[in-house]
Amino acid sequence: MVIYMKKASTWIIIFSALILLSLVYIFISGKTQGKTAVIESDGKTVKTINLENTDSPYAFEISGQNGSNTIYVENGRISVTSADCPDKLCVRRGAVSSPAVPIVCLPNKLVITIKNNSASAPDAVTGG
Amino acid sequence: MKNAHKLTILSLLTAVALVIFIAESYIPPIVPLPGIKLGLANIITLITVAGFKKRDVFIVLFVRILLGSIFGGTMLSFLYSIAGGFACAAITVILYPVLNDKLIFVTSVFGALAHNTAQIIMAAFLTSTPAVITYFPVLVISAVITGSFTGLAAYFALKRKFIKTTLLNR
Repeated sequence: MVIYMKKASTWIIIFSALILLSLVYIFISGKTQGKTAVIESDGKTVKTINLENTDSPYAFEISGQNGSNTIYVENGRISVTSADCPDKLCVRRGAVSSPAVPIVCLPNKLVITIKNNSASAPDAVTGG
Repeated sequence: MKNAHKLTILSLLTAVALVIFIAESYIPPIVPLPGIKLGLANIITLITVAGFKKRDVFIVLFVRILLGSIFGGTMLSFLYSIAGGFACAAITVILYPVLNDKLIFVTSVFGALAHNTAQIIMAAFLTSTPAVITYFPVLVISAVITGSFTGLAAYFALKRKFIKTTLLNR
């Protein structure tokens, strides 16, 4: 066993398997279409949106501690269309419709996750 | 190695790591996800652990991150960098004596994994949102790829006669 750990080829196999497993996980969770988008700002859930019940697209702004983001909601997808953070990674992310990877704006402490709860969520809920 | 000599070499390594760190921060992100970067400055950490004591590795790392955040970053980026850097250095310092030069790319990948894991935990903590943990698979892929790259770079650097004799005195 120890002999195998000293061979470079063993580790190449292990790392390739790791990449493969992660890719499979991302692919599988990307297949499921999300129903509810949960928007959290600075740890508090500020909005829960049912993406399937969205007839006409609309946009709104979330103001966080350090800045604000403009969020665009359409049927089945959600995206950040503008932000005042320095890196704009959240805007470049594009629209998200699966629970695979959330939209994150680290400087503004904004996280948008897609959840798949079958329990019916209200169309829009504003917290606190 | 005499003290003045050692101090000079470590300062040199820190300076090189600092330059790499800052230069890399100017490269625009190719992937629209936070925390995905090349981590080239880790090559210096690997070279340092190959020739110096554990304490020296941490000092080089800490000074580089401190100055790097002063010159080219914010308080926020400092927190992320120190979390990732410290975790990476800890793993590197533990694994290198076990794996040695031939398998330094393995040490590098584990260091990168530790770095990204620590950063995502820091992100979850700072944004008070545990949901960012969903990012983990993407960061695993990024860590393995970038870790392999920097590990290979360190591997070939350590084979160079200049590095071996002048820098590390081996």
